[in-house]
Amino acid sequence: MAASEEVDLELISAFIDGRLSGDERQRALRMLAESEAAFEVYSDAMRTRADVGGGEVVPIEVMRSRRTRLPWRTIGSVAAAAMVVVAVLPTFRARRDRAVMDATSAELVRPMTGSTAVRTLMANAPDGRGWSVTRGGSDRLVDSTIAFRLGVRAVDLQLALAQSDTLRADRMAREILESLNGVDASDFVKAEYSTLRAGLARGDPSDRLVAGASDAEEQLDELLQSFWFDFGRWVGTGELAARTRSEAFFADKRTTRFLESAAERGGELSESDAAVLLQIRDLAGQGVTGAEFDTIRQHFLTLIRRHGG
Amino acid sequence: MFVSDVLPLLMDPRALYVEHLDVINRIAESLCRRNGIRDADAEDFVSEVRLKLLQDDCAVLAKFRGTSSTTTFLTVVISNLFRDHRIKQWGKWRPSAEARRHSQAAVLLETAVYRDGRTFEEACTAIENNGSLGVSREELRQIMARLPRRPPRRVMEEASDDDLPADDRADARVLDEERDAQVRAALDALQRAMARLDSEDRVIVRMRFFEGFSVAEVARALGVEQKRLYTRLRKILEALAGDLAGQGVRSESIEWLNGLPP
Repeated sequence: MAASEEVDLELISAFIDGRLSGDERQRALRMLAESEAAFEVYSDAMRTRADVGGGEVVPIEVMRSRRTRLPWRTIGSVAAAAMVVVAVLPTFRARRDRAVMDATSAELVRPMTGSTAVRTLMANAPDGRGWSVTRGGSDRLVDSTIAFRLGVRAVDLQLALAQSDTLRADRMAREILESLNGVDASDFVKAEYSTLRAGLARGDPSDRLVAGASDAEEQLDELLQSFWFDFGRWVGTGELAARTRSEAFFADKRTTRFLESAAERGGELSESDAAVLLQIRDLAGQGVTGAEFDTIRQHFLTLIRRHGG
Repeated sequence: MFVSDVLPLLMDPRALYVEHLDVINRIAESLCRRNGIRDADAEDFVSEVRLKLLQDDCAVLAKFRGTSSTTTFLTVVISNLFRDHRIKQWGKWRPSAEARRHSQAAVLLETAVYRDGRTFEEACTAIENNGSLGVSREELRQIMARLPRRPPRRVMEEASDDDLPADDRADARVLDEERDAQVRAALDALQRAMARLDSEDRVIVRMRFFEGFSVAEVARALGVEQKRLYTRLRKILEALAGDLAGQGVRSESIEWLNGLPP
């Protein structure tokens, strides 16, 4: 029982249940950081607890079930990730400006998920973008184009999941993955999307898949830290909303805020982009009806073609 | 304090054991399942756990002070018993985190190839004969490709050497030695860099990279905000990168650390 002698089992248990604070919590962290045996027991116990569940009330949230991972997450991966992150981080940081458009795809598509029009669209239409994130489109792909397309595809993925269209969702996830092959330091994110695809193949419950896609998207957002990713999500959602004649989307104040703040941005967007966005805002402000949806859709398609290639 | 906290203090340890016998069995079985221990071996471990918990008038349970839920305490105690059991059975060998995360088939495949020194084909045959796992040869091939390469155990190393012509064997050995030396140096450097992190950062790195918990899981486990954890992870990696570069670690060594061919 050598391991028992060196490991304070009660301390680990209390730490897992979130009942330590101050010095005691620090003591537990020190033990887990310095003792291989303690960390192994802790790690196994965490996974087992998630697996077994248990009938008692515990004060912290029960972990999600175990998910498959990619082989890059071996010991060396931390070193590899550390070596590449320094090179790419400043570039992405410089682009970071997310004062307004921080809505996730799940939030954006939620108002549309119950719509009959969306269901019909998903059942009958192809992907409808005229390009994929990895094939076709412009022959001069630059970072902003990839980020924009990824934003649009993140929306497509969430919508497919919301409609339980696993085939389409898998195709979207695969495209995102292929596109990420060209993005430095994206191993974190690729692992999340691969896990999502494995869940789709296994037929995991819908809520778990949506949560997995949201986790992956959050990591993608953190990695890119790009205006273009946020812009892609909004524009992709806007085009879908127009195509499915979603009045609620255009009546939402967040849509107006997005359109105005994007139009006011200097630097990334051109004057003609701003003009298009303001035209959409003006139409949306009056309550969109009938043929106006088609006009708005054409505006969004203009933006998609311009920035998605 | 929860009722469940007080209960173990009031109950006789033996009654506590009986009360939680079902949970004890499930915890032990879960550990076996995730570590590729099956059938009679799994039953042996479950029996061993029950025996250890009953030893000396349930001394382990008698010492429980109620600082956590009983289930969590039992999970930790049995995980610790499993560690003892594993070391007794296999020495320091342990299925990789990747295999344990993947599936029982992955653990069995890795164990057969890397611990027991079987060929891939032999391992596949043994696993396929166990119909309950329901994995095909092609799936096993894919699993094998995803498992981290591990140094073969001594007995296997000698066996494979015999299969090589003498000259090739000598060249291969020199290359292996050079490579092993670089990998060892890189690993030492990584350990030194890790040691310079604060305790919580080290735990975060171990959970995230060594054990493959998701960022969301790490955040929940440590009670930190998930959004901030992404930024924090990036800063930790930056610190490690600077440290490794300062120690002269070459990217080539890191590829080898990753288990990828150079």
